[in-house]
Amino acid sequence: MKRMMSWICALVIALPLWSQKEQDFAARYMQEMKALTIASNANSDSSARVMLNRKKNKPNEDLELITISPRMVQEMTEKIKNNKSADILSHIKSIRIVKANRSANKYRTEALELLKKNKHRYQPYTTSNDPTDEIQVWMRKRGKKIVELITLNRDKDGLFQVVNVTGEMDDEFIKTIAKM
Amino acid sequence: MDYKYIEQLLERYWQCETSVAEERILRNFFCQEEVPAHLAKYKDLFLYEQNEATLCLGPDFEERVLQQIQEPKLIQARPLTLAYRLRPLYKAAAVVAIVFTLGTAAQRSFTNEAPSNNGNYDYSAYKDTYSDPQVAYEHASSALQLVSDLLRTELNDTLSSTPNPEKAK
Repeated sequence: MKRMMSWICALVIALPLWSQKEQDFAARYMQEMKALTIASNANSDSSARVMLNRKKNKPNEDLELITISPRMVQEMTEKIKNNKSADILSHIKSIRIVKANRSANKYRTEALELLKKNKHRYQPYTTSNDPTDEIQVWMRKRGKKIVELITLNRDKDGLFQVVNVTGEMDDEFIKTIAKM
Repeated sequence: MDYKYIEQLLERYWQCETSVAEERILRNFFCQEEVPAHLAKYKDLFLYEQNEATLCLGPDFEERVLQQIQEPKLIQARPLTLAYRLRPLYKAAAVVAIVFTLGTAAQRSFTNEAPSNNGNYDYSAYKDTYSDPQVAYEHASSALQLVSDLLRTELNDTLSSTPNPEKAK
């Protein structure tokens, strides 16, 4: 009886968890960065604890998140007349861009740490023997499909940019994008 | 000794034509200790009938039956716990859970979509930065151009790091 009860409880608990929606990398990254900022503020200044509640809802000033939702992608697809672009957009569900105007190295390191921490989810899009720190394109696969593509870019002007694309992509699509 | 009369009686006995008196004669005959060899095989039958006829209930039969009937039967009351009472509910819940799990699994495996393909991302939490599709498209294009550049770099790196079999020769 106790075993049966345990099974039922486990099922009841597992079902909502199973049906829970997932976050994409950009959302997770922003969440991590927000937590990091709060923690560093609290550590650097004890008086910051008083301000903690106020800062909790304040976005990280260094980072900017641009979101293009599936609905907007749909609208874009309907409006554009370029067949090639429409074909590319048909594979894409959403695009999220995270921009950091300063501390590019720090944010890039954090992004790589997060990707490496979730290595069961994200894998580098490369077969070369480059060290992991140099890998700029990551992806998440489900079966043969790529459901999430993440690029990390740090330019010479000190701008760090994460582009997070979700959708239903494959190697053919990657080749098409690369030829753009 | 002539046993023709007995043989005739036996013959009529098998045909069920003998009277009660004649059957008594047969029984008495087979009760003897010495019976001719060709009739000995019928002896057990007539002795069995006679022995069974003498069987009767023992003097204590009635007493024993009455004793068994009147003996009070003890019915022990078993305490019913809450868990025992709720057992059908647990069973029903388990069945529902199993059916639901199997149904969902079947639904997912029979549809062409990969498991939770794209559908698992929480798109409802997305808030568009731009309301104008044209502006959004411009940003999307530049982002995709960046992705394209990086992909090209990665693909070139991969190709350059792959050893060329022609050169190896």
